[in-house]
Amino acid sequence: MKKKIDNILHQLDSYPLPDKAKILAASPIVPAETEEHRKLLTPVRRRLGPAKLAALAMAALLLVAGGVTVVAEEAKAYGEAIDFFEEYNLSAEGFSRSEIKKIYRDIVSESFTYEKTEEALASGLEGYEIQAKPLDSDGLKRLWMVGYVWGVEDQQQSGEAGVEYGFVQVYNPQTREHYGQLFKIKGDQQIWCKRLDDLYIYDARAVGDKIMVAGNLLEKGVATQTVRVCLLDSESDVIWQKDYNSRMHQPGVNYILYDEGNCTLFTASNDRMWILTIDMEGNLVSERYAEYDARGEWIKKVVPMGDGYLMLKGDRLMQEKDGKVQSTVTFGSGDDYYEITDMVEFNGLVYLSGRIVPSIHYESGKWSKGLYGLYQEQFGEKTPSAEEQLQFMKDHHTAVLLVCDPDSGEPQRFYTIPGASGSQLSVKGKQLDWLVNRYVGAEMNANETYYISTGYLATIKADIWRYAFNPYGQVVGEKDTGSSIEFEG
Amino acid sequence: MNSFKQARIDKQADKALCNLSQGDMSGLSAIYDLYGRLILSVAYIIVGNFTDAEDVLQDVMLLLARYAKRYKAGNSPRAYVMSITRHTAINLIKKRKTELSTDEIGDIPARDGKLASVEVQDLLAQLTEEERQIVTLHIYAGLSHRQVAKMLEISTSAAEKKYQRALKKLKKHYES
Repeated sequence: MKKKIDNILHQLDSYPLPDKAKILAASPIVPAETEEHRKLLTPVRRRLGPAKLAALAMAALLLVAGGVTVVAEEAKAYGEAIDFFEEYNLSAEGFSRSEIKKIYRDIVSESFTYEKTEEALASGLEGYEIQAKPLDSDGLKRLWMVGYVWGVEDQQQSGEAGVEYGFVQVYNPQTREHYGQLFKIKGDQQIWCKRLDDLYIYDARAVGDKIMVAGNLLEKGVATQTVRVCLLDSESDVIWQKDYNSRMHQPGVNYILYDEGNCTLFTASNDRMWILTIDMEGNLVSERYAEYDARGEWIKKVVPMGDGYLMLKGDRLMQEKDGKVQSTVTFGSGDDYYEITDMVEFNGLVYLSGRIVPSIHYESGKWSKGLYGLYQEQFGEKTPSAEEQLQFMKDHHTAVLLVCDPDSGEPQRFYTIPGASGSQLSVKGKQLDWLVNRYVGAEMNANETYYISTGYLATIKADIWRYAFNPYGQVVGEKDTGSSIEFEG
Repeated sequence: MNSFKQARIDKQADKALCNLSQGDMSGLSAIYDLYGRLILSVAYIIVGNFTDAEDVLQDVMLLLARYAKRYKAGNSPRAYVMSITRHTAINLIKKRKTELSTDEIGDIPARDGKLASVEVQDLLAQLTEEERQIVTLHIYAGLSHRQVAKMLEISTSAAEKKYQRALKKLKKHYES
């Protein structure tokens, strides 16, 4: 598939490159190509080293000696192995011919028991670097077949203390089977792993000690119109599994919302959203369709609001009302732009967490103000120091907790903390917890340089604080959690 | 592109950027030769037509000339240039959106311009904006998931996950 996509994308190469002189004319004075430049662009031709010459000589000798068939078979097997290594971006460097062939056979037979296999996979297998090492053969197999093992973002916090769920999608090219896998994890331990055949899992939600999984039903690996929902108990047994016809092309379950004893699934195709509510036995409670532009990011959180729902799409708010899903009235106010990261319902109101950044103005053909404009204004072509970048972010980022008007969905400021970003929100009993990243330090990136408009050159360190609010909106706690995060500014 | 060829180009680009950072403008010409095609195509994926993509290419060369001093020798010139390309292309889209309306940020304003082949358009139509960037930057531009993640300001595991999902989406599309 990767090769096919690569081939299609390379069709872009057929479009002629614009005239170099014209393009560079806009840049500061560019002299004619120099000798140095020509040298720079001349490919280096490598001479055969003694080892390769010796190998060629040996091959020639073997051929002469009559081992033609054996050598040809060996060369074919080696060629296949090398093609395989190249296709999957694995490095063959440091391995002998025999080792390369063994690794190849070990992977395609899915045994993953050869001692050198992990070393080879480490060189090119995406996701390897984030795994706890060393991996056993099962771990390697899963990583190879799935491409990645559960990520934190896929983990759903359950009602049980310290228990999380994760899911992955598996395609076995040998058997051509597609299935989803659901994991129950406690700390670093996997409690169980459940295979769900012909299901492309899109979302899972912990509902007390049970977990609801929803996705697309696959027929011979091909997506259907059917959305399949399963409810599993805490021991991975399927309590029930039901199929629902979405009447949409390639429906994608964006989000499962558990609210007042029912679950509502928000499923989107390109231009419609299907809002299906079922009870905990899987019986249909209600369903409706809404106009919806699915372009851009998926819905990552939903809370009920009035007769409809408020949805977080990327860092923007959408409201479902009267059969339409559309942007809420505002993403900010005046000179401020709100970047929303989380939302939660608390005491009948919807709270939003995020940060305020200067908004972008476009005046008389030039960018001005906005974070980018301010950055240019302050630093120009100079590379700011880590401290200057930290100060810039402190000056222009404000953590904000917003509360939505229950009718219009319009967010209003509730609490702000300068020099910080608002992060996760959660409700614990009668208390709203708000995590805030307070910027405390910065360090220039030593290994990689990125051009980013707002402090991309430094890694910003932030301490995570927890603010607690009671149902009356009063701050009842303000505490450094002792944890910190680092991110690119 | 095989990884050896890519590594060779990146090495040349690293040197060209270093030259450029020291005021040798021939480095810019070399960068155009090495990455011009890549910049144009990645810009196309984001802005959706070649007319705008050419504008992005021109702006990127201008920015490279201006900010080459920020590049540090031995880093990934490919990621550096792709980061500027992405940033510039997104700015162009934002600019167009601002010209149209401040409320319709979710929409992509249409603009006449030369388009890629039907097959490319069909592929792009299956993906969200973010997925297009992730798939293109990883498969076409040859960036690692970690580099893509940094560029999109998401975690590496999120970039990997989104990439896998996009691929599976495309797989389903082509199989059906």
